[in-house]
Amino acid sequence: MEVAGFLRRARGIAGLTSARARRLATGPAPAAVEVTVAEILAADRRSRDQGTMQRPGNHDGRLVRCRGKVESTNLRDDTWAVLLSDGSLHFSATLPADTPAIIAPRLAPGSEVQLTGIVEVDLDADRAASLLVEDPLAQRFTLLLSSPADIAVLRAPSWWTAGRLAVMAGLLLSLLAAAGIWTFVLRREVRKQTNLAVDEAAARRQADLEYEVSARERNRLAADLHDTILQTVTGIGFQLQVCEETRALAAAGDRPATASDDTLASAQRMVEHAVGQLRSSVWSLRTQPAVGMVFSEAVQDLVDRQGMGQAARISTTIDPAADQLPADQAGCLLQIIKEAVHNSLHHARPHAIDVRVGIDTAQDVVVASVADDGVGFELGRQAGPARRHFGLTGMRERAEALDGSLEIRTSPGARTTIVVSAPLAGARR
Amino acid sequence: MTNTSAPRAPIRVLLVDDHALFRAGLANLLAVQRDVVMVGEAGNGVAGVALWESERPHVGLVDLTMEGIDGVETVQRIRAIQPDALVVMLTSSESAVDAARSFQAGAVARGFDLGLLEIARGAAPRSGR
Repeated sequence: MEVAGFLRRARGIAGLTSARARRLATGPAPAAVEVTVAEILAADRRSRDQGTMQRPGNHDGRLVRCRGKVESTNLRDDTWAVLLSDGSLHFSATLPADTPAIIAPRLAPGSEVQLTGIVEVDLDADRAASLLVEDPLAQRFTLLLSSPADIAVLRAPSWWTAGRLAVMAGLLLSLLAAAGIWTFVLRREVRKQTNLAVDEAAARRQADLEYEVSARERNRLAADLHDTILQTVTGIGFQLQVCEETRALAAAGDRPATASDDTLASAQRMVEHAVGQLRSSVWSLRTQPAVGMVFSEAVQDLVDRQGMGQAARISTTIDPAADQLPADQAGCLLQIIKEAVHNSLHHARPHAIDVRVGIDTAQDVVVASVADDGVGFELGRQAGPARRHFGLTGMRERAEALDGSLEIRTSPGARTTIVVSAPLAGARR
Repeated sequence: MTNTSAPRAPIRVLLVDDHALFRAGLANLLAVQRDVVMVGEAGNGVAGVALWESERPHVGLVDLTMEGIDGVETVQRIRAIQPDALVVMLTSSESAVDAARSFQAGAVARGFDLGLLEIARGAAPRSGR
C-alpha cells in the first residue's frame, strides 16, 4: 500500500488523517493474534511512556481475535457500533455503516461472539485520568472490523433474559402465593370442620354424662325413697296395728285406757317425721335452683331443706360474686354441694357441716367446699356402685364437666372435706 | 298365756334394722303380742350378731339393706354361731336376686307380717331355753 495523509499524534502509535491509499501489490493478509480482552487492556504503561508501544505484548494497532458478549448494537452516523463485555471489562467494535443491516438480528444482546479486528486503544480519556488512576490504560478500546465476516457467533443468547426471568419469577411467586392462600383457606376450613366435630362430640358427651348422672340420681332417689319413706310408712303401719291391738286390750281391761292414747301419739309423731322426709325427698327431685333465686340464696335454700330434721348444724359462707356465675355452672356446683351435704348427713354423723363458695379472681377459679366433723371414711373403700351409692362418682363427673377437679380429704375417724375447683366460665376453653 | 292347751314359753325375738322408725313401729307391734318378748334391737348387722350370741333368741328379724354388713352377711354370721337359727329377712325388695341371696344365706322368709310369728311359735320350745 502507499498512503498519503496528515500525521496525527494524538495517539500512542503513528497515524495519518485524511489519508489517500493506493494498492501497489497483493499478498497474504497478516494472521490475527488470539488475545483476551484483559490482555489488550493490560498494555504496559512504561512501554507507552517510552514510546515503545509496538513491542510484543502491546496490541494497539494490531490485528487480534478475541471473545466477548454482545451488550447492545446501534447505528451511529456512518458506523455500526457494537458494545461488548468480557466479565467486568467492556469494549466496543465498529463496522462500516454500509455493512448489510442483517448483522443486527445475529447480534442479539447476550450472544457470545468471536471478533477479528484491529485494536484501537482509546488514550484520550486516559490523559486526564492518569493522575488519579494507577494504570490508566486499563480503560477501553475499540476493535475496528472490516466486514460482518469478522464476527462469528459462538453461542446464541440465553433464553433467560432478565425480563423473562422477572416474568417467570413473578409467575412462580404468584403460583406460590395462590398455593399458600389455597392451603390457608383449606386449613381454615378443615379446622372449622374439626372444631365443629369436636364441639358436637363434646355436646354428645355432655348429654351422655347428663343422662348418666340423672339416671344415677333417679336410682339413688329410688333407694332413698325405699330407705326412708317406705320404711317409715311401714313402721307407721306397724304402729297403727299397735294402736288397734292396744285399744282392744284396753277394752278388755288388760291395759289401762291411756295406753292406747300413748301409742296413737307415737304414731302421730312418726307421721310428722315422715312428712318432713317426704318433703325433702320431693325437693331433691328438683335439679335446678329455684327460678328467681341467685346462687347464694339457692345454696342457703338447699342446706336449709337438707338440714331439716337433722341434728347437724349447717353453716354457709358464699362469696357474693358467686351470684354472677352462669346458670349451668351454678347448677352443677349446686348439685355437687347437694351431693356432698347429703353424703355427710347420711354417712358421717357430723355435728357441723361447713359449706363455702369462693371466687378467686386472680386465678379465675371458683372453689366450693363442704367440710364436716363426722366420722370420715377410708378413701377407696367407700360404698361404690354395687351398693347403689354413686355420690362420689357423680360429684367427680360433674366437676369434670366444669373442666374442674374434685378433691376429697378424709380418713376413718377424721373430718371429711370435699373441695371442687373449676375455672370461671369466662376463662374456660 | 295363749289359748292353746299347753302353756308355751314366750317367743324371744331379736330385731336388726338400721331404720329407726321402722324398727320402733315393729318393736312396738311385737311387744304388744302376748307371747312375744323383744330380747334386743340392733341398728346394724355387727350389733345384731353380737346380740344374737348373747341373747340366743328364737327368731331374728333382719333387714336386708343396711350400711356396713348387710342382711345376707348378718344372717350368714348368725348361722355360723347357730346353724339352725331361725331368721326372717326384712325387705320390700321385689328383686329375685335379693330373694335368692336371702334364702341362700339361710333366711326362712322374706318380708314380714304377724303371721310369720306362727313359724316361730311352731319352732319355739314348749319350755323356755
